[in-house]
Amino acid sequence: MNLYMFILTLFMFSWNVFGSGKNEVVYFNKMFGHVHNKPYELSSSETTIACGYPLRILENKDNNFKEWSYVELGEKKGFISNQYLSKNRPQCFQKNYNEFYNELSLDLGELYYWGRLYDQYIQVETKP
Amino acid sequence: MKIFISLFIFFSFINVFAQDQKEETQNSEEVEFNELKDVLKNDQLLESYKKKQKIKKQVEKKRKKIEEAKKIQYPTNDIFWQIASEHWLVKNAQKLKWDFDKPSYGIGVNFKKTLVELGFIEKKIKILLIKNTNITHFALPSSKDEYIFVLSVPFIHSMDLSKREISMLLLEDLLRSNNSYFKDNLKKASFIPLIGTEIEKDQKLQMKSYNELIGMYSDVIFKKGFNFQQQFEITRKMDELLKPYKDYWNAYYSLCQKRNQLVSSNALYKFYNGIYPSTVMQLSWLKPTEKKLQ
Repeated sequence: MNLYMFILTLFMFSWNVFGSGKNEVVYFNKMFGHVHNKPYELSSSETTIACGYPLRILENKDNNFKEWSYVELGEKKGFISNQYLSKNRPQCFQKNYNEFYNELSLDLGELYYWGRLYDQYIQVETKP
Repeated sequence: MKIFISLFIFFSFINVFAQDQKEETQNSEEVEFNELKDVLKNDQLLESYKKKQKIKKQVEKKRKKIEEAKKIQYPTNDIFWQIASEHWLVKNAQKLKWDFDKPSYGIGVNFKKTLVELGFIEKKIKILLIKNTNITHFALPSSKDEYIFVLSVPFIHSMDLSKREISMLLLEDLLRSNNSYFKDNLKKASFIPLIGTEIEKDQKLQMKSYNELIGMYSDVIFKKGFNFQQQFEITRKMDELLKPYKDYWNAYYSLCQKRNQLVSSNALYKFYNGIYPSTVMQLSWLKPTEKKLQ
């Protein structure tokens, strides 16, 4: 009985910490992107984010889309495609070439459209 | 009294004997320590040397970092072209009309399957569909083994292309990209030699040159296009590549026929031969023995 309780406790602990991925902090890994109000690319944008932005993954029982995560950043919540998330902070163009990036002087419209680019791309990778 | 004296002598003797033992032990310990001392001394020296070398390397690394921080980097070749191409797409978003609701069409899946069958492995493909008729199709420069394709939906609808024929159209652009035809058109830009270089912190980045380069993108795409020789090379390459694959070769030939038909009959696409010369000649270069391979 004691052994059983011990194993059960161990299982519950590991599931909470590792199994669900909830409350995990991840980072956005493209130049710019959008957090959407629904889990598909053409849904409206909650906010535009830049490379390296930290996002907290939340639980969403309604989310049946395995390729999307429900995330939180500041007060905003929404959906973002898993392909744009990294567990480690990525190497970002904005940081690596900070002066050049600043000189591009992107306005708000350009930031928005650069994020939309990654919503609109049809992306495939050829693997053997 | 006698017993007392005897005991005294006895215990004194034992004490002396013990002292001797102790001295002997001490001496032997000393001796052993002397042997060890050199070894220990050497080890510590070596350890100390290693520690000093480590500190020296760290200081050198920090000094280098401070030196580098004094300089400004232009993006390297690998990342620059992806940024420049995407920046051009962003600047021309409203003109190109790529931000619109559309079905998936299955283009990506089919093109991926085609590339894998033809042996183009470990390639990253980005396809951007546009609603514009002033651009039909283009591959923009990007990072190594990465491709950005722009494809006009009205253009492919006008010819009623199958997914396989669309894959052939994209494949042509992929080969153009591999041959760096687009970049060759930009090689006179004053920004090109700056890519990957660094300047001192007090110097200014040549952003005017960069903006001129982005402007040249529009020249190539809307006006200049490719030349006759480049078209011939690509057509021959497609022929060589696809000959072993009957279905693909037939799809490519069918694409060339439809394209030629469209360009000859539709005024909206009269500009096409100026960008991709001689759709008629492409058919004759392919020169099938029969119209379609049986």
